[in-house]
Amino acid sequence: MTASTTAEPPVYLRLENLSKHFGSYHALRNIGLSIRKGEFVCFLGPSGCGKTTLLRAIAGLDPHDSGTIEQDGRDISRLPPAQRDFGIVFQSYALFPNLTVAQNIGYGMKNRRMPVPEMRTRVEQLATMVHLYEQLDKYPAQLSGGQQQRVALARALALSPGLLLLDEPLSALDAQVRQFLRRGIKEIHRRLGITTIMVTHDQEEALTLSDRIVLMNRGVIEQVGTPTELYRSPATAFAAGFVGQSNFLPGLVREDGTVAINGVPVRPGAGGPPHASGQRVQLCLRPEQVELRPAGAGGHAALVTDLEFCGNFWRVFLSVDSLGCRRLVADVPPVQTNSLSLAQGARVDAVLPDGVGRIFAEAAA
Amino acid sequence: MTGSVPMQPSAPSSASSSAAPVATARAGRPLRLVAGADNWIMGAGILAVGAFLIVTVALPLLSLFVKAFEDRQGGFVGLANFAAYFSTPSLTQSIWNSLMVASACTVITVSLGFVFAYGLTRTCMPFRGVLRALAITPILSPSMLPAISLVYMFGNQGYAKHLLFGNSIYGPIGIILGEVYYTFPHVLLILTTAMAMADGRLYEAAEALGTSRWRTFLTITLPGLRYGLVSAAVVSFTLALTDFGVAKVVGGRFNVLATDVYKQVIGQKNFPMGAVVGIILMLPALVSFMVTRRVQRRQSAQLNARSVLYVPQPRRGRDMVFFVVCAVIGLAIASILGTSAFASLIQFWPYDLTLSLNNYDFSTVDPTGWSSYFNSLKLAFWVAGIGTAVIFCGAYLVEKGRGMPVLRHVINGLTMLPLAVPGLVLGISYIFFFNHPSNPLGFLTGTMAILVINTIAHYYTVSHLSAMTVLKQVDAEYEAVSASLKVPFWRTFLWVTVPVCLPTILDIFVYLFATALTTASSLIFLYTPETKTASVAVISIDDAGNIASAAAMAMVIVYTSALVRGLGLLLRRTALDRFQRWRKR
Repeated sequence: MTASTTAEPPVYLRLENLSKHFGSYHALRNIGLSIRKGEFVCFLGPSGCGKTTLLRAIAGLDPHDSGTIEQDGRDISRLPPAQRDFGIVFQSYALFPNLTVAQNIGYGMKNRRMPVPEMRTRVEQLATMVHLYEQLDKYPAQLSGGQQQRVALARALALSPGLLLLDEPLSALDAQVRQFLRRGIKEIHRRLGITTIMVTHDQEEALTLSDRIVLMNRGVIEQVGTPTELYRSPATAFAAGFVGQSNFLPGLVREDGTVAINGVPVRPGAGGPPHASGQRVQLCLRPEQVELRPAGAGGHAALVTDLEFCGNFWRVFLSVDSLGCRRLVADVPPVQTNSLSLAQGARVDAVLPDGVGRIFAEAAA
Repeated sequence: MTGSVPMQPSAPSSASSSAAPVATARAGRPLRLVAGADNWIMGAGILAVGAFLIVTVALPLLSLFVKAFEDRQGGFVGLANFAAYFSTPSLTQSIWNSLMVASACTVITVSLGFVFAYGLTRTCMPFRGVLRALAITPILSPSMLPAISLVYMFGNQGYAKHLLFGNSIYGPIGIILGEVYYTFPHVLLILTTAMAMADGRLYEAAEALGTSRWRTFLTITLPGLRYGLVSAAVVSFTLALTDFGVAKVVGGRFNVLATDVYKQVIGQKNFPMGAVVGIILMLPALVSFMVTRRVQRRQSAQLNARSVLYVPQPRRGRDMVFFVVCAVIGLAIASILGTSAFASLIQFWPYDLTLSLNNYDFSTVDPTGWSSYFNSLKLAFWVAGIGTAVIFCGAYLVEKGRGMPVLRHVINGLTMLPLAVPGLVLGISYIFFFNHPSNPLGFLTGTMAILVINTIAHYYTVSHLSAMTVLKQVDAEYEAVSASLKVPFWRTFLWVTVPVCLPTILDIFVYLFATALTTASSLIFLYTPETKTASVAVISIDDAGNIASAAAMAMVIVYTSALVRGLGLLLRRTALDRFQRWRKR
């Protein structure tokens, strides 16, 4: 641990107390965040949470109201976008339709009066990196959506910026192309080591790509952490509900530290803020943490109300009277589905395991 | 497991934010960014466009209002001019005359336009292309042309005089007929657009439910068209109310507001009274302008991405009925244009019907001769050239610009104003503003430049709106991308935005060129013998009693604007296609 601290790359981007209003609407509230050089960070959250606003403030496209942004040790808060150091890919890609792929990628170089042969080499190099070498003389309208996205990426990298900003770059594409391009982005990031921020509302994208995820909601940061941290130890009920699926069971904290759910005591997992005895809380359990057994094998008698086939597992919806719970979700591997002969209307026993659930104060997402 | 990440967010919750010394955010404004060269250039552009609109639209109109409250010597007299106006029955009579004529024209034009548009879009009648082209031709001619033709058809020696059963064409009948011809293409364009926007799924649903055709028409077709109908009625009413050409030629002793303005200013040199009439003329236009704006705001979203366009199915009976009716309307339009075309080639109507080009020798009837035509061409070139550049750049700065939000808002508002101001009123406003002894821009009086500026200002709105429409379709992030690539915005404007918008830019150019040729209403107050245009010459030649030559001059305008619009279409189809290879998939 101590050895790794000295090897940590320096902080590249530092946001302090950033706030922004749109009229009376408070879009960003006292945002503070540090991103290290070479990190891949995702801003994740539901629409309207402020993630794109934050990205655009970093780019200087929609300046924030108060607070500071420091990039590479330099205060850039008041610099216009043209004087900041970033490349950007928009959801629409914003490719220039009347210019070829080569001209799009070389757009910034041409303006800098770069010698033609040098420019050609650089453009070809970038095109090769995004696997578009054969398409250099085509126009954007002649390319597929995925190819257009890669042109936009190459163009954003053309001037070797210190920071790469991606604003929902994959959301306009269909699922398969999306997975393919996701790997492409990851590979380029690994190769260039460029500090990257990506805005997304897709948790799967955030979980698979990021070094760290910045989870946002209503203009504030809910939690910052690695994908595993976010999934395993959500800091708030919102985080538990937004990243992955969760069951929220209302209960009362008892003196022995357990939570009484409809009178049934369950011991929560370690970690998380302490809660006073008698406090109303919610116990959060992931669907895969709910255990199902044959009826009468011990547990709470449950009725299967619905089943969803999700490929590598079944999602089972249960109604559990003894817990006062009409909708408990459990994820079950196919093997077990057969052995329990799960079907709509079937009866099973559900077990809420001790020591894994997390508790949050009452008001949940 | 990865090493723990040391960087935690600085407390989102209020509990620990007390550590941060920075003041909590007020309902704040965005930080002012350091201005780069880009911003200075953009700021200068916004200021320039703002100054142009203030000088060419706002200040002249302001001086019109001031003038209405002054006596002839320039002293303030309060409402005395208005009192004098309303106590003169011969003047107030014009208000009712104008309203009557414009209302009648609106009812007739919208009814005919409705049938015609329905025939074009909702039936399978034959020759739809030919009929549509024919119905649009009035847009090529100055408004004096239908009036001249009506004189030939129904005047004292008219070949169809008996159809009026002894009534005179000089007066309300002539004005109404002329205005119907003049406003028909505008109404038709609005209605065909509205009718083409029908969602076919509604009709399929109605058919599946076994709804009768009449009920389908009442419950689906008409409600879907109500905004289109209101817009069409408003446009027809405003154009007919404020038009000057028709009433000037065929009005006789029937006074309307538009001719009153002319008589007060040019005939009696009573500028304050001219200003009063001008303001009264502007009121209905302002009201209808506001109605249209309201309607347009509520009109959105009739069609969405999932809508299916309605495709009419052939039905013999209905198709034939519509064909006959539309063909009659088309023939009426053709005969009006044809009458002027033919009459201008006749030696001496109706006594010597041999063909000749004598009427086209304008030097015998007007001291400016053919030079007025060349003035018109010069005017049209300048208006189209400068106007397209100013209007497109202005729209770009309003839509894509950054900074100066207030001024950009003001500019956008000012661009809408000319639509509500009749050309006639703008014309006299220019007299008051530019002829004022203390105006440093007074040197423009009597030059071609003032005609150019006036015409650009008069037709600013329509061109601005089409520029805005296309600019809104252009990706909003081009400017952001070029900033990130350190390319100044104006480079991207020239390298990308202009090429992408070229078809619309060409349309604006052609529109400004053609309207500069046909317009007369505001130029009539501003021309001098050296800058007299062909459209003004039509009026003065007709005034002098040489109706055949007036028809000839009007036809010269028609041929020229037809040629320009034709060239524009050709250019769009051929040259532009070659340059725009990138649009193809």
